[in-house]
Amino acid sequence: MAANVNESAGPGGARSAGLARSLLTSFRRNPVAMAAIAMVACILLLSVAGSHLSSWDPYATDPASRLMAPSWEHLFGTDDLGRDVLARILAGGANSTLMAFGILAIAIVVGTFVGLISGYWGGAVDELLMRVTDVFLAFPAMILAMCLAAALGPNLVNATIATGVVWWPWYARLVRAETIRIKNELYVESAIAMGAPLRRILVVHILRNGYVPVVVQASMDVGYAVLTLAGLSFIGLGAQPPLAEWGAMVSLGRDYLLKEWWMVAFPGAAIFLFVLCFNVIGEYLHGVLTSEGDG
Amino acid sequence: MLRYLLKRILSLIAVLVGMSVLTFWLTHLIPANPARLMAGQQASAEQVAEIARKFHLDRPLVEQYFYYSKGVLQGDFGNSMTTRRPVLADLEEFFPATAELTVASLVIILLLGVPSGLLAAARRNGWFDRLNFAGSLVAVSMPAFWLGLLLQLYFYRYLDWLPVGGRLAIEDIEPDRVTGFLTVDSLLAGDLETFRSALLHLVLPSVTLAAGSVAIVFRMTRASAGSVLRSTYVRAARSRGISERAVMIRHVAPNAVLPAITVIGLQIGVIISGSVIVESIFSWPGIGLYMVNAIKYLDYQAIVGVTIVVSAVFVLCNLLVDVLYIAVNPQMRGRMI
Repeated sequence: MAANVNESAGPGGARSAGLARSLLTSFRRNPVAMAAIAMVACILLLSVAGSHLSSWDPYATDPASRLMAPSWEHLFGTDDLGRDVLARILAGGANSTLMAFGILAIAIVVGTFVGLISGYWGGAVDELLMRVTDVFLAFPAMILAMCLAAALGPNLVNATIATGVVWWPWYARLVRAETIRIKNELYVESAIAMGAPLRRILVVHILRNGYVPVVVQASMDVGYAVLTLAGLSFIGLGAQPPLAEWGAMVSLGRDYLLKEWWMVAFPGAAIFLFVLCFNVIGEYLHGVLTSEGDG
Repeated sequence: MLRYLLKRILSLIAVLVGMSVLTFWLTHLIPANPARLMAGQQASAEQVAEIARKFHLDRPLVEQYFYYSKGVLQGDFGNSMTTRRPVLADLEEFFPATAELTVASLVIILLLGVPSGLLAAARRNGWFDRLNFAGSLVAVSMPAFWLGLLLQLYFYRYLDWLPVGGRLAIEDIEPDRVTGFLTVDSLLAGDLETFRSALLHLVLPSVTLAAGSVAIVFRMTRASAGSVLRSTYVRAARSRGISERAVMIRHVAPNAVLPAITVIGLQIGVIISGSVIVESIFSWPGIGLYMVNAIKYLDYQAIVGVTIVVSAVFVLCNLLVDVLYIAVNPQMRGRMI
């Protein structure tokens, strides 16, 4: 998405450049958003560097040092198999980040495709596709995700797919509304009149001018995506042992909660901080982009 | 109104059919042989085939779906393989626990979310507003399972004020089942001790479940109260010299609460989703815990049953909220007849 915002060629280009600039200035004026961006950058960096930062192997078990309280040696303590909790949190960061973007990628790609078709063609196709989104939206999100994840088989990739499948109808509706709004604009009509190929009309004229709400929605959804996925992992439908993943780590720590609290507290805090940062950024993007996009 | 209702109910039926098809198809992707599971480990191949025939499991999926939906319309959701009972009986047993938890959360959401939203809007950018706004960001970013576990750690382990889970303590006597709500039933039975225990058991799970939605309702109320405050009739009321307090109570609150109602309709879906996790943390014997167990043992009849019933309840709640919205909104009344 970031690449799209910085896009400088094509009909949407001039506005995109302006957008990027106003985003920058607005962020500069906003210390909380700046801090959140810095935090997200840190998180991303830590996820990439991840396992290299800790001298402990996130997967090496050591019965002799199991369930050790936080100390200088093990900053966040060790778990029931003697693995270093901090090392596992660092290793799990990459999973959470990747999966969050996986969910959004699935939701946005499928949703945009369906929304474009539905909005551009209208009529019976639109009616049919929208009824299908109705059905998906009628489920409580977690229930459908659980059903899907169970059907596909419990692992992290399938949980990601399941969550993405739960999320796409929102994007379909969003893109459909934008498409309907834009397709009646004069420049689209003239492009059609000039005999521009369909792909060009859809991608260049409609998508490039209608992506802002999608960016806003996506920025606000990253956090929720991570939460849903962590929830699935927590009830055992996501990451399977021994894979280091934050939700699964909290789930593991549950049985030791009353004495070995660090097994729950630290991985949970990692999820919380991660989601919080993305929500703060989403909040400001929402504020800036919606006023820009409409103006 | 009648025509609107009729239209909504028709589309609701279509959605429900779609949902049941999707759920049925999905759960049959689960790699398990239900006939083998039903027959048990020691069953011979003939016995398994016999069971498959009996339950139409040897038929094509489309045909199976028709048998299944015929059963559902007659109130037969099949049998759970884990509890060895009809799924409907299980649902009846576990539903009140979830309903009680949901209602308790809704009460918390309404009591905290709406007034705080109004207060924050009245003094925009004041300390109360800023504090609550920051709080709402924290609340929506908090994984429910983490919050629940931390609350257990603090209020049970350290303070020992509240029970760690379940609906009642072991020494409590369960009241006769009337509504299935333990708080209500114990009151009906006149057993105050049990009532107190049931209420205490309800605190942590319902707070955990409500946290995120309180934040959403707070924001919605704050935003809508903000736009009402900018309206001409509020300016007119102020110019007549009506006190700010009276303006808030008489003019702003009734108009600002309406949009919040629609949000609560959507939050019911969030609450149902959250109850799965909250119930498994607090060992709350409701539908959510039942669903988690069903998934653990690939009990697909139970999974389909729960998904269909819970989703139907959600859809109905949304319809109810929309109807309520029209009923209490004088602007909508004329248009919908």
